[in-house]
Amino acid sequence: MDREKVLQALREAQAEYDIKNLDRLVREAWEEGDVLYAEIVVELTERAVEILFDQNFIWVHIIESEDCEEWIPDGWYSFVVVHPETGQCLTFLKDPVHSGKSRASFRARIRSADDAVDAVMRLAELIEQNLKSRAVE
Amino acid sequence: MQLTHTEERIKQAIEEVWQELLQEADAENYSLEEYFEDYRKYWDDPCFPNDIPELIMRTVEKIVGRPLSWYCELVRDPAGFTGEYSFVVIDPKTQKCLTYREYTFDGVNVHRFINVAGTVVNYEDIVRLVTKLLNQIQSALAAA
Repeated sequence: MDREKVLQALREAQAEYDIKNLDRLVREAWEEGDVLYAEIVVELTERAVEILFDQNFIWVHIIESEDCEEWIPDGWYSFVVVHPETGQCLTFLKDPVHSGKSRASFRARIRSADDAVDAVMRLAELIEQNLKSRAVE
Repeated sequence: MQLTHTEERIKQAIEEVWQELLQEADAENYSLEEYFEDYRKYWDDPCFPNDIPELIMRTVEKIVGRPLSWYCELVRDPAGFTGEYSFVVIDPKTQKCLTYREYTFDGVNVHRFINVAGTVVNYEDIVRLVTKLLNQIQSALAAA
């Protein structure tokens, strides 16, 4: 996945949400444990991926918490992506170590703008890989 | 694929899985009834309900007869854990989302869902949620 394309997609998503400073948003979501900001980080990540593929997906996400008792975002996020037409899970990953085991979700630490770029890139690569494997079959 | 999931079979599978979980945790004899008494006491401690997704999905897998790929969210709102569990289940053989379904309320707009959710406060809720998941998985496998 081309980093420049990822940056462009994130910029477009930022413009849609009128976010001027991505790094500040991401850091405040984590450093201040702000759930609302964390939700925006999630929306931006998901939207950037959709822009990259020019396709809407069905999403489920979790904003992880550093504290069991209170919901304080800790900068970790999990995503499940499903293709709306085929029902294929695009975040599916076979466990490379334990055969027969697999994972349905993609997990990333997003605590800075660089992390956000990295997360979008890795998520897009996983989706691309799953789309290709299905196409081959 | 026809799944056999009578209430009796589900309850038997839940008990079997519970015993497996106890064994793995090297825990002393702790009945499900005792567990749910504690569960209700520590309702506002979201660490406690972490055993529930494992219990539910291992029961589902036992009845389906093979491992599934799954993801569970403990649903929270600003006041904390709501008691609701939301599951996404994937068939590792086909990568299809088995909890995917479409609804239309007006015959025009299609709404798509990829999760099956339910609130758990007692043992009967576990039976209900396992049944709900199995029914959904069965219809997804039959449609494939």
